[in-house]
Amino acid sequence: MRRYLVLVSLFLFVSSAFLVGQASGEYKIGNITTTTGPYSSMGVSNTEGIMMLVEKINKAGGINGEKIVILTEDHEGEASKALTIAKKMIYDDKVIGIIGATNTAGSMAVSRICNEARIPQVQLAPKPSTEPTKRYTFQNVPDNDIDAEAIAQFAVKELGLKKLAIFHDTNAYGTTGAESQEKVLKKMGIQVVVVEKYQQADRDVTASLLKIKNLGADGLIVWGTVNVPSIIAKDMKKLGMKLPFIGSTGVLSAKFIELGGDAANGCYATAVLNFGAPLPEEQDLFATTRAKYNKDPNYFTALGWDGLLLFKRALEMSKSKDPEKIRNALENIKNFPGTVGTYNMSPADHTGLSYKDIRIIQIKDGKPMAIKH
Amino acid sequence: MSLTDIIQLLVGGITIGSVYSLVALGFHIIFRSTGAINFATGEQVVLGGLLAVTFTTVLKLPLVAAFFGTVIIAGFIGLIYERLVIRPVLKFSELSIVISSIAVSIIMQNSMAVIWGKEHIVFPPFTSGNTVALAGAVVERQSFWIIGLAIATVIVLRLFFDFSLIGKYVKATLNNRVAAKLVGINTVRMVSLTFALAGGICAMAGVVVAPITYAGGAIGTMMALKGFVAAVVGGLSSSTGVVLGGIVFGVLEFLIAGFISSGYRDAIALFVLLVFLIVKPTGLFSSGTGWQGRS
Repeated sequence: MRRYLVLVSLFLFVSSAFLVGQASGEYKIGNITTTTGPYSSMGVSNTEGIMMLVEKINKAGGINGEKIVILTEDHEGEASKALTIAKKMIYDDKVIGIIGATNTAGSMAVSRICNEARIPQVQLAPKPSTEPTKRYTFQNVPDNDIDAEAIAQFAVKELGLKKLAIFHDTNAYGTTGAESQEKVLKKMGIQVVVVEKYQQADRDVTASLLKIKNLGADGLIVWGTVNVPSIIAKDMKKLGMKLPFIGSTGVLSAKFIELGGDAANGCYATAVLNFGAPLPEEQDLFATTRAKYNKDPNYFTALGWDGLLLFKRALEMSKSKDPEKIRNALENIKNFPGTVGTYNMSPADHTGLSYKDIRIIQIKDGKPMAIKH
Repeated sequence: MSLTDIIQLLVGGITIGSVYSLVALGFHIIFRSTGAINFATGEQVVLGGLLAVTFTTVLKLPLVAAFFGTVIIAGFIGLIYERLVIRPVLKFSELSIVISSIAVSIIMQNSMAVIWGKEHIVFPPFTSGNTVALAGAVVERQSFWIIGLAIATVIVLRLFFDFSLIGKYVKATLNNRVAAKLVGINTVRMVSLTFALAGGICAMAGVVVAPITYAGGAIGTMMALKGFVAAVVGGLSSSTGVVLGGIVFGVLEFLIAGFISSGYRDAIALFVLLVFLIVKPTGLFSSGTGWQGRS
């Protein structure tokens, strides 16, 4: 009898741990971000976007009457740390979904775990176009192919450029982005005169720019993030190089304009927000960010906001805490306008965006302004 | 690659080479006084830039005051560094000093990140204005400041060591510790002074290069590595050697990037270091005074 009682109480004790997790009355979503490290400005903006939206949602009563709880942790830009954090969030914290990571390398690590553990993930960095679509991984970032397509359309069709040079960061984002860019340009029959690389620690790119100038390039496409693109712009100005500078979405952030100073003016970059003239679906984001932080949202704020927005939509559609049902709902999101673009998910396409969602921005007087095209 | 392009590369190389020279001097002075490599050198460079930022933006001081304030504070931190961390381990091997300096570099890096953040901070050039044309190439105004400061530092140091009393005491301590002690020089205090000197010189490098590299941003490791390679190439135990080594290495970096590849630049440069360590470890210009031992 005593052994029976011990077994029963042990069973109740163990199962109650599971029940506590399920019946807690809230949706637990993990946010794997970068508040320190070279990508910190991106991660901080991502998290700001998420937290602003979660505040709004919870203030309005939550989803299906239950609040959303965001667990935020810093992976410092490193894939190995992102992996560890994802494991902890899934197995210890029992999240029903993960938003993250901030950069391509971290996102790929998180994606591995999420697909093993069958937890839906919305990553905030583009996956390399050669990576296949994974069942549990979604992204609200235009693939490098989409970004490259928008850049190519603008450079060739609008600016009439014929001899383009590519300058890219040696990190995962820059390298895969440059590959996408070359592929897209080749399809359009445009010649790429040279592809130069830079390291994030570089502070002077004169040698590469001289090469680009000597090969007669009439336009420079820059694929990178953080601070070297601003140094490229500054050195181009110093050398008196007048060819158009077109940066990928990773280039345009508050820091590029701040660090580039006067050299940033006149530069083009792609973005997903229509700076200077917010579209209807972007206005909520702009208004909330201005009210809370007294500044405009940037690309990364929009990514974070939409990351949570997609989960919100999926939770409303599925009315469930079952990760599998949430995943199915995510895959069935159609014609859903977010700040980044309009999402049309499908089993084959887990981004749901097209190159038409990409805006071309030019920096004028230290501010990003969308140009009509 | 035209002649003007080569001149452009040389300008860039000599500019950054001058910074490497100053960092290399920092390594050289501590090597002469302790026989060890000071791994916190790079962080002392970054500290210079960040202190200058605080002086100019928070305390709103003019550039000249900010510059000298930075150098004095950095020198003072050098003194504290020696007193607290180095002096207790001076009686042990050079390895202990190296390990202590690694610890200090980590502490400095984290402290600076806490105080100033990890982001890059814009620092305006010392004088504003357009670039200057030089034989077809363009030279940023800050380049003149950098090269000028390096030259001035070398001259002032030479005057200090050869003509001032304290300078001669330090020189005596570096050349022959035992003899210096025997003639009544307080060698312990002289070693302390070398840490103040090295700290001040590194900070100067950090301030003068900040308009080009941005202040902060955790570039300490990169700066230390480049400065160290420059010192080894020139001859770690020779003051003329390290300065020339800095210029040579800076120019080498730019020429490699221009003629071979920008992607492999660092790999090739470090390969050069390996070759030097194997073939001529005393460096190109070493006067051979070397390390006398810390008796």
